[in-house]
Amino acid sequence: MKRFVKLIFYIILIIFAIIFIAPLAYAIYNSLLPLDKVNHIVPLSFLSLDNYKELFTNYDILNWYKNTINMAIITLVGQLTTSLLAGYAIAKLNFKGKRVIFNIIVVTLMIPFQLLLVPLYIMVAGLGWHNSMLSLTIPFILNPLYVFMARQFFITIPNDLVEAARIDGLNHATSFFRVVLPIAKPIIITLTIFNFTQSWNAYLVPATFVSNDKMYTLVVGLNTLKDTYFNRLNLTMAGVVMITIPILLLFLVLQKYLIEGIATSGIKG
Amino acid sequence: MKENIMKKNNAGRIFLAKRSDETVTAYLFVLPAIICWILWFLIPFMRSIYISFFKYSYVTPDKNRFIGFSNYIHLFQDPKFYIALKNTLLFGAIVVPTITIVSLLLALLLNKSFKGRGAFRTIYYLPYVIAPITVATVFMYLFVKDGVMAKFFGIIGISNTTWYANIKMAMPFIGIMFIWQMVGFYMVYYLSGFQTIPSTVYESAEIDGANGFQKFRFITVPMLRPTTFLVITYATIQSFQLFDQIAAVSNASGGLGSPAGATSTLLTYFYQNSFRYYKMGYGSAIAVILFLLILLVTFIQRKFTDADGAY
Repeated sequence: MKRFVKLIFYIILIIFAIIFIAPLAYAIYNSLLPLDKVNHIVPLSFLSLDNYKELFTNYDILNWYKNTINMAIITLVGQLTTSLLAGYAIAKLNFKGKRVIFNIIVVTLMIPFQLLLVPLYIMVAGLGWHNSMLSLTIPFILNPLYVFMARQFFITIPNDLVEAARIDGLNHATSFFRVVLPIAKPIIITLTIFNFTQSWNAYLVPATFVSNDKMYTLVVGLNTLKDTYFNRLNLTMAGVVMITIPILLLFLVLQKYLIEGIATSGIKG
Repeated sequence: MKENIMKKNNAGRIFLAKRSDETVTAYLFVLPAIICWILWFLIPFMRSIYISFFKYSYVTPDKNRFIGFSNYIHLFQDPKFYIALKNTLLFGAIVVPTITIVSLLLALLLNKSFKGRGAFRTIYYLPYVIAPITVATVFMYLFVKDGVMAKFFGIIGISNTTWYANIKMAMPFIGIMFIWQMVGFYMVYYLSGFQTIPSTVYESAEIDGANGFQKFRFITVPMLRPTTFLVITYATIQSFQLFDQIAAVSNASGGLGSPAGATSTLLTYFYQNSFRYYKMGYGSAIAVILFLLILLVTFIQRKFTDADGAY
């Protein structure tokens, strides 16, 4: 009886696993097929990388990669800088206006980003940043949520540690960089994956701020590809795989930290 | 290097310099965030509300003029606005409870320790990492005419599964994708929620003779209340901000919100007015309404959780 229950339990788990994995497997499989064989089960010898070759020769996909990676790295550096510094100051240092700043962050979290889209568009266009990397990065080097998460993390660091560094003669800034930052690895990794997934998968902003196909990000490029060649299932699926695999690999390598990060840094509103 | 600093700062000087050093460091540390916040949050936020009182277009700046509450009055007489509002609220009302229940069930499945638990947890979380546009693209091809799902549903007599192009089915189709993508994420919240329940509570219930269901009903569910409110709030806000899936689905079947306005939400209607028709004042008024709606949800959540004393 007990074994039977266990069997049912595993069957349910596996059914859910299939539901979550099947669409990706479908994309990978069809990306390897010629158009007249899509949605069919064929012998392995039919599979080829032709669609990927076409994607790389006929489309600007290398540029789209470059843009996406640039966007992700620039915003990552910016967001880590703003959130780690501010998060630490709010968590561990005493200064006038600290509570006000913290409350502002919490309130800002409630503002839907879309409310800012029109003014940001006007500002970006006014600065002549349209169709450039500047428009996709500079307005986004602060993410209030990350300041909040960094603060939650730094709160858990024992005061004694900081005190010890101070007694050793380090000032507040040096003790942050030499003592606190090296042990902030979990939050840095969590923010890195959060930021990378967000940049990598973003659609609304790149689709609004960029109209030149040289400046497309991967997701925007794929969406236009799909709209233009909806009948080319195999080609679009190759695009899907090209977008998904890098972010999936990053996630699989760092997922242990990510799931812990969600659980412990408590994104509580 | 380190010894150098130590020599310079003897104990007395640390004491004297402590306060000012701390204040200066703190302000320097928050400065980058504050500058960015003023430039890219405060100013756009106020400007957005300001623009909502204007007939405003980026394309024809000389024709922009102040029109007071006209945009809002117009909005409440606009049948398309009501369709968008209805779609937004209905979508949330169906998707959010589903996500809450399914993510709780998944978390229950994965709560005990067993072989392969970590792998299943990773797999269930996986969809959340994939771009919504990508998810929508794959799902559309899965459901096309003569596609895989058409064959599958053909068995039970539903052979037309091009739901994304069907007025009645387009929104449920987006709902399915949305739920598919989000449940793993909220499952993680529940998994961490479970860890806050002390095992002693279950042990004493067992002594009192409670069965599995009773333990779930009278211990797990009530003790998870803070997590549940959190999940409901975030899922609601997220569902109000649904955009990418709609953009993917409706571009292929003609314009944002298509077919025939069936997938029009507050956000897509805002986008359409602001960036397609360049009625940015009108669009901003819609965005303000969306903001008020989210504020309301957050407020309700705060009231409940505060009463609970959990935070």
